[in-house]
Amino acid sequence: MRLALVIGWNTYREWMREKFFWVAVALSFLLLSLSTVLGQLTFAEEQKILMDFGLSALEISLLFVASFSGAYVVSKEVDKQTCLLLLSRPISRTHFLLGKWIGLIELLLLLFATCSLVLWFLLDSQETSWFFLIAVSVFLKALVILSFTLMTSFFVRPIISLIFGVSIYLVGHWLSDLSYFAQKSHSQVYVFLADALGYIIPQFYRFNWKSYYFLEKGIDLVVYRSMGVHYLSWVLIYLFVADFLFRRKDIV
Amino acid sequence: MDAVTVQGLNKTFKAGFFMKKVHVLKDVSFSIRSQHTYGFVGNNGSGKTTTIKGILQFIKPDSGEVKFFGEPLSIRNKKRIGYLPERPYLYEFLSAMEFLEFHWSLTYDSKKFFKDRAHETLKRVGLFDAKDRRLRTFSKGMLQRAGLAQAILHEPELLILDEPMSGLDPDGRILVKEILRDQQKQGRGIFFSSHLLEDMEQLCSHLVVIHQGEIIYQGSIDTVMKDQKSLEEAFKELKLRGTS
Repeated sequence: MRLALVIGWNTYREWMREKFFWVAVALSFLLLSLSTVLGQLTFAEEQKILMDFGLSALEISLLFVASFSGAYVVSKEVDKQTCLLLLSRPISRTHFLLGKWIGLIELLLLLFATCSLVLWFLLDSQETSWFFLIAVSVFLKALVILSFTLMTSFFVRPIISLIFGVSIYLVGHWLSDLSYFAQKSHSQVYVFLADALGYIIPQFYRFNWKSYYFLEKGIDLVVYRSMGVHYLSWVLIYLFVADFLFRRKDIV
Repeated sequence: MDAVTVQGLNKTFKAGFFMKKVHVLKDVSFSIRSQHTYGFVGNNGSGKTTTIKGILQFIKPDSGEVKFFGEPLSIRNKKRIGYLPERPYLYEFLSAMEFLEFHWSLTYDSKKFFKDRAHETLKRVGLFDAKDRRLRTFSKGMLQRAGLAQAILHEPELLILDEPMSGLDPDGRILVKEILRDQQKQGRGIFFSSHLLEDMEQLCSHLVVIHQGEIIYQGSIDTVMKDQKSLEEAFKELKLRGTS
């Protein structure tokens, strides 16, 4: 574990020194400022608009960093062959992969903590616990996307992996709609396909709580726990497959 | 004792639109004795880098066996090896000291001796004055020396260097040769690839010659030079014998 943490710290430093990350930070603050402005423009619904748009801004920023960094973190090392020196050291490929993943989690945590604290101050909310529970669910989604793009980057080009990451995020949110339209179509094939997608894609739509409604009403904690297990299971599956693929990859 | 034994290494790659199989390594076998310097010679595309990558398991051979100090490559015996790739693309966002510290941390739990050892190594490769500069500001020669510093930092028993002198200016080559001689004096085994026969003649006691993915000679440099005026002529002769 120590070796993975050493690689993780180095990965975190690397991405912190990339322009890309600071562009993402600027984008996050731009979106949060936009949410504030939109909130002030609305009549009597400032908190609601700020919460809805603010959490969406947080989700977009995390999705952007997770999908991009996940797609490029190992493929960049393989293309530039910087991983050769590391893999010649007393570490395994699993240490390397886990280290890269940990480094990106540290990066996402920094972005997540900064943006959610800013949003929390802007909201001036009394419902602290609900706010942070909702924010954490957004972070977990980013973790799923990060692990997914990391995995797909082993068999497709990073740009395709990035597109896959955004696609799975969108389809994961549309699963219930797809299922509904499949039922309406009365086609067994569409129903089967919609059901199959429900098994092979994380069900993001079930845990889409980034609105003021949930802050007011709260969330069922049993559902919240099942969401956590669902997301973390997908993360583990993706990491396991990524490790399997990386251990067999020729670094030519 | 053998530092490395390579037995029957084969590797094919699929290339081109029709994924035609190309047999890159053909039953490659040789061994490297501890505390000796071996030159790995061959033309461009003969399979030198692929062999080194196969030995260090960066690529998975189709068949064959590699042993380091009598055991398969493992986390334990990786500590006894120092490696420098052909083009040392390093983490350019790090300074030379940070770069060495990172590699030290991957080898040792404690940083107790790191600073002294790093300073000593950087002085040896002529980079001490640039120790706090980011690697992205380094010239190609300086990067090569930083890579070499990383390889020798933990005082390994065996150095595996892929083209350590390629692309260096005359001063850079002289310095790298001096460092290698220094390592020889300290009793380290060295296995380095190159197509610069002059360097081989000056540094090596043994040669491994590869031609079109096959080992066509392994043994003492004196034996191969017998009846030949230069290593260049000996190499030509070996290639002729290898292809006939």
